Amino acid sequence: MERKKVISNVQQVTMNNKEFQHLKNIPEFSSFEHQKENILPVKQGRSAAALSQIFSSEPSALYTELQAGHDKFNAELENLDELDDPFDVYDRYIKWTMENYPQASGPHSKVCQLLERASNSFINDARYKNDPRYLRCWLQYSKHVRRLKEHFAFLKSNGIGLDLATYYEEYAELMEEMKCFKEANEIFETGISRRAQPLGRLNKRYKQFLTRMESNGVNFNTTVTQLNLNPRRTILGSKSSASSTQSQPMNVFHQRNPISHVVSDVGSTNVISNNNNNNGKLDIFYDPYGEVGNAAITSTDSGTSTWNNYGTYLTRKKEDIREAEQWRGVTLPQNKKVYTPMVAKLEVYRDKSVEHDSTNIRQCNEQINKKETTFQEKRPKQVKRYELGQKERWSIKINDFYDENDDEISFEEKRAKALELLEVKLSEIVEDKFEPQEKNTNDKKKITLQSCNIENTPEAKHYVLETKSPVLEQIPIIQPSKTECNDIEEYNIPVHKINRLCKFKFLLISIYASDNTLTFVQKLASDMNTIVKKPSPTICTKAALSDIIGMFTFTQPSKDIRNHNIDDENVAPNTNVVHQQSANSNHSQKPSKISQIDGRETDDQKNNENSRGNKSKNFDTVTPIKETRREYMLITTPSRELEQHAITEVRPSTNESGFGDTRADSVSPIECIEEDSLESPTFTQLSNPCNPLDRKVIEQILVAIRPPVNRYKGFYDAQLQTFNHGSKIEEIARSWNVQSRRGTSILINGDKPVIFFNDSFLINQKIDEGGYGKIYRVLDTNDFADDQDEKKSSRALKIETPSSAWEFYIIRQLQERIISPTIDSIISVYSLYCYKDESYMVMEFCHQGTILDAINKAKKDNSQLDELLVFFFTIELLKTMESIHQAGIIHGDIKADNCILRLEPTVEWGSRYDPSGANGWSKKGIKLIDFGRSIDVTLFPNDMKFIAEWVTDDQDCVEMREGRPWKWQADYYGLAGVVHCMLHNQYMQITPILAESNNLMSGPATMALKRYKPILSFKRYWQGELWQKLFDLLLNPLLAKKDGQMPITQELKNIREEFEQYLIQNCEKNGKSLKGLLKKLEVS
Amino acid sequence: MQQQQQQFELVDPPSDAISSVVFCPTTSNHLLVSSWDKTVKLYDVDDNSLRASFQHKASVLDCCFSDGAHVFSGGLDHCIKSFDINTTNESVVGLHDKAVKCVEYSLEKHMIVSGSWDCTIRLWDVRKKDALFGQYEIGDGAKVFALSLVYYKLVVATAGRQFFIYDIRNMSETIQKRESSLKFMTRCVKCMPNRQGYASSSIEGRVAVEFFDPSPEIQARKYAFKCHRKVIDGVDTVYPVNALAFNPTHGTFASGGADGVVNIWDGFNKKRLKQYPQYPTSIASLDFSREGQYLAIASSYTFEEGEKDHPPDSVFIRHIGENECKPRIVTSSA
Repeated sequence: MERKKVISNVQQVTMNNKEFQHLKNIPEFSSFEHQKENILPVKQGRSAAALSQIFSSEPSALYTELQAGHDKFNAELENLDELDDPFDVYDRYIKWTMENYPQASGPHSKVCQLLERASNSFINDARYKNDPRYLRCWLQYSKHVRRLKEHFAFLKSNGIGLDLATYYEEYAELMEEMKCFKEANEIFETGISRRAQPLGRLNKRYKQFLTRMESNGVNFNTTVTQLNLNPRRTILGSKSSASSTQSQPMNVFHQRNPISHVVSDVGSTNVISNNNNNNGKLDIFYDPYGEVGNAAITSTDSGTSTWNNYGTYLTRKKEDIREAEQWRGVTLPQNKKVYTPMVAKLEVYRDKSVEHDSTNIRQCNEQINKKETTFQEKRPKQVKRYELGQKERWSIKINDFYDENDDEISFEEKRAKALELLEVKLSEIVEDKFEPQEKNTNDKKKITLQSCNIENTPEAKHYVLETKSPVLEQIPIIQPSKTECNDIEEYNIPVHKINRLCKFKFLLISIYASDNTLTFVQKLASDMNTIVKKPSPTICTKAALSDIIGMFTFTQPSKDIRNHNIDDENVAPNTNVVHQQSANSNHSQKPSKISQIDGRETDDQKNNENSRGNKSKNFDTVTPIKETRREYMLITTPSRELEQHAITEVRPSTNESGFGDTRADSVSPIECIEEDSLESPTFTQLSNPCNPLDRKVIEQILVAIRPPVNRYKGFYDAQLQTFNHGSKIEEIARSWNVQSRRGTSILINGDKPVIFFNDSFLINQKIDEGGYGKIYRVLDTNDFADDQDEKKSSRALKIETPSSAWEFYIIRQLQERIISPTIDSIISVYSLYCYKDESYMVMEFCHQGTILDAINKAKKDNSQLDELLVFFFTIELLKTMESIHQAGIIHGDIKADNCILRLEPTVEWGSRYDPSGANGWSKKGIKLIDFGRSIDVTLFPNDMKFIAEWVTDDQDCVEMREGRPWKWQADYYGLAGVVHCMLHNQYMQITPILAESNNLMSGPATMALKRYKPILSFKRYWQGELWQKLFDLLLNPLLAKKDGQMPITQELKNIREEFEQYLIQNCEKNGKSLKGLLKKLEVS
Repeated sequence: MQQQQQQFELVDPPSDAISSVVFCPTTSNHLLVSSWDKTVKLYDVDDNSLRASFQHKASVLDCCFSDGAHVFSGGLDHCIKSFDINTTNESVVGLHDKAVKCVEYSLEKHMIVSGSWDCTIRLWDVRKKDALFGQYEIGDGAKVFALSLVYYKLVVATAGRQFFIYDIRNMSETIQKRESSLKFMTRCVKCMPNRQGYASSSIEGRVAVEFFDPSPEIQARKYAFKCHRKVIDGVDTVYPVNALAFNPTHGTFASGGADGVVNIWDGFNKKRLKQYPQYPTSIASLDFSREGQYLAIASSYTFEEGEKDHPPDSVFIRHIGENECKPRIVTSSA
């Protein structure tokens, strides 16, 4: 055949009359190949000629041609009524359209509309009920829109094509596509039973279907009932049978159109109509007018074709079209703003006179200060803004009360300015201010002070040094007097006054510091020196120098110099206190070097020292002369030492030996106080909160401390010297370990002691090592040589690299500040050898191990510390912490391994616990060690808070962990941690509980503070109430007081007393005794 | 005669302008008067006699009692002084960097609160030798013009028409910062005895009554009114309102202006209760005695018009009748 197959379709092209005529000129495929993607495949194929013509002709020509065709058919359709076979017109029209619009569904084709029109026109026409052309029209239409079961249901309800095999074939094909094999099967059966024509073809198709089904494993005999359920499973995917594991994927069509599915079921079989009711839940499709649903239902119910309108494609898409609704009350969105024409605004009222005034002022100011450009804009604004009412008048000249910066000036300021009182020199005021005090001070002291000042100034140093000896010659050495009290009385008051004056002088200096300070000071120095009639025991100290230097280098405005320590507590010591303290310190000191040295000293010096020592608290324990003398022995020859008299002052300044001139030998009362008073300026520049362990901060503090650390007893200063013995000591300790294990004597390395100055130590084993340094057990050779008692001469040597005097300072301060016997609970330190690279601190050695050791031991035995012991240690800890807090020091690192057991042997030891320490109980307790992280709060402003800049863990308090500022909390938390550890053998972990917000704190200042408690609960047989109270207090110190103030020492004391009462009553109960428990601990 | 009983003038007044008059919180007869003549004087109003006095090195701008026996004062010499009435001991509590404008004593905190032109508020714990408890910068360097304390609330009025409200237990944070409701420089601020709010006055003849509670319904109650104005030649002349004082029992308050007039106001009903006849010159300071039976009125030129001749400075003590300062109950149709 010459006919050409077009497109992909394999079907034979049916012959057309028209085509036949054009047979001769069969077009080339190439003529429309370029458009082949746009050609909709048709079952029957397409005429190549027509396609060629369509795609080869000009668009406009084609358009007119097509239009002509349309017109022709439309004209025919007009007269449809007159025709015998009206559908024939449609049929031809459709065919023509199909041919000429190969894109078919394109926007121009209107095929869909045409099919719609054709099919809908003859729904009720009996002639076409079983006309194959009409049915084909329907099926074509349904293909165009979307092949739905509904179509077939509609056709069925209207009896269209029910006798035609095509209907059943198509319907079954659809069902088969939808995997509704049962329905497909039924459809075929219905068709065959109705003997639809051509029956042969239908049978043939049915057989083909059945073979397909068989190959797919579908057996209609068994699946009939199960398949009924299929529609219900559409959402989850259809399962072909309950027993089979085969689950078919969900049909997209089903998912999208569950209702349509149901409707078609209704139309086709009664069985499925049940599903409609069962699927009531899936109420997605809303059919308000019942066009689809109702029609379907009614059609089933009545069996007649009341569903006589299938609806057009557009109406079926009606969900996409917005329904018409009432406009009443609806705001219509406006795209553009409505601009109303501009109308002249009300003119701003301007008061001419004031305007004039202000401009005048402006001009004046411009002349004065041309920089003030901002002011020019500001000024008129403010004046204009705050205009008086129209009919009002100022009684005052308002402009007088604004300065050139437009800031307000109060009447008082104005008056002060007018009276030239505001510009009063600060110095005058200060001088004036202290006049009353000065009246009371005698001249002598005043001069003393001044001379002291001079000598302290850096520039004056040289000068003073030269004239030193004559001055010193006149120093009245305080005569040893037996009635010391008198001496003190006599001295106290002036000291107090001098302090005030002293500060005043420093103020003066600081005020003038900004300009030519040096000349001033020099001048002052020389001036003052001439005045000096009766010099006092003063000396030039580096401390004092650095103080002044510090002030000058900081060059802070006078503003920053705080005067709040005018009435320093240390200034006027109570005689009684001093006595008590000195007595106490003597008492509490263990047999140490002091006594030995004392023995060596002359009576004269001793008395001298004593009398000085009692002058004031400050120089009581701070720098006794004897100690410095001792230092001298190290660096000077014995012969020179012999030459030294009570006055050793000249030496330090002239001494050439490395550290000589930094040494302060004797501290005059004046110095002490005056230096004290100037601490705070040094720290004012610290941020708040600050990291108290910052090396810089600590260095700064150590430099500023008055008296300086290197004047403390037992401080051996060699900061210019490197020592570098750390590794050597380490080696010795290791070899000692080896030797001791072999059982050889400790004395094996007795011949190579480590020597610091003139002290030498035998290194034993290493006790501990941490980030801060290493601790060794050493033997003091001096002691050891005396009595060979190993225990007695044992010391702990703490080596820190780089060197740090901080811990030494803290412990010395504590020893000075704590008067109560609690001082026993703080490790005592003998000496610090401070080198440039390393520092060696010699401390007392405690052999009984730490609380942590005790806990671990108990843990090993699968038990824990008895609650009585915990009570005892808790009380001891609380007591110790209270006293160090009272002394103004935060330990900062309280933990179980920093608490050493202190269970010293006693002759008498009552079995009943005594909190006062009587009956030998004072010998039992703990010792706090490791003050390396301590903070001396007194050095900081009252409101100073601290911040942790180190990596924190569960053992650090909440504030630290959350990066919030803290202060006393560190110790409270630490203590709680120790107690928890003792109780539970576990490190403490805490959890917040909801706290009622503090009612007394009202307003936005109220902060709902979290309340914390330990996670672990107390054992039932413990004194849960007491423990809970303690933990609550320690973990929530801010909630302890109504105003959230800290420290909560008093509150802790109260609870400690409760603990003590409990312990007194229960120390010997239930066969346990505290004494016994402690003894056991002591032995082990 | 009647006039004499109602009011009398203190003998031996300060020789220069009066900065402040303060009644003793424990007795009704002690009146403290600070003055530009560098003195602080203590009068007994019952005897109309001078009981004690002490001196500063410069003009004194404010003074206060702590208890019946101790007084504190501050002034242009930058320092705060304490004075013991019984022992006549005086001492310096501490220094500001500039003149001290106002001092107040907190009964609850046992502290002196001082405000200065150095733009700081400082708290002093006078029980300690090292008295400075804390120092707090106000705003961005605004000079303190006035402050008032009630319970733990501290209201500070500064230059630039700013108000800062603190809780003196936690001075590190400002509870509220407000702009004055008045358009001109603040002259005086006083807290209500009922702790609800405060009244402030400005140089432009106006008084504002404000409340602490920041909730909108309470804030809606705040108001301001004109006062201390006089019509001269048909023009309303505006005078500064220099002084305010709350009646401790009734909660009504007195205002004193540069026009020399003292008014008693009922802040609850927004009514003027009383206007006293004009005093010789500006009212510099006002204070009610402890139970409100006296009103001390310092009539002293406040330098609002610069250097000029003015009537002598004097302190008047006015007896306040029992109902004189009582708010009138508005009898709505009950």
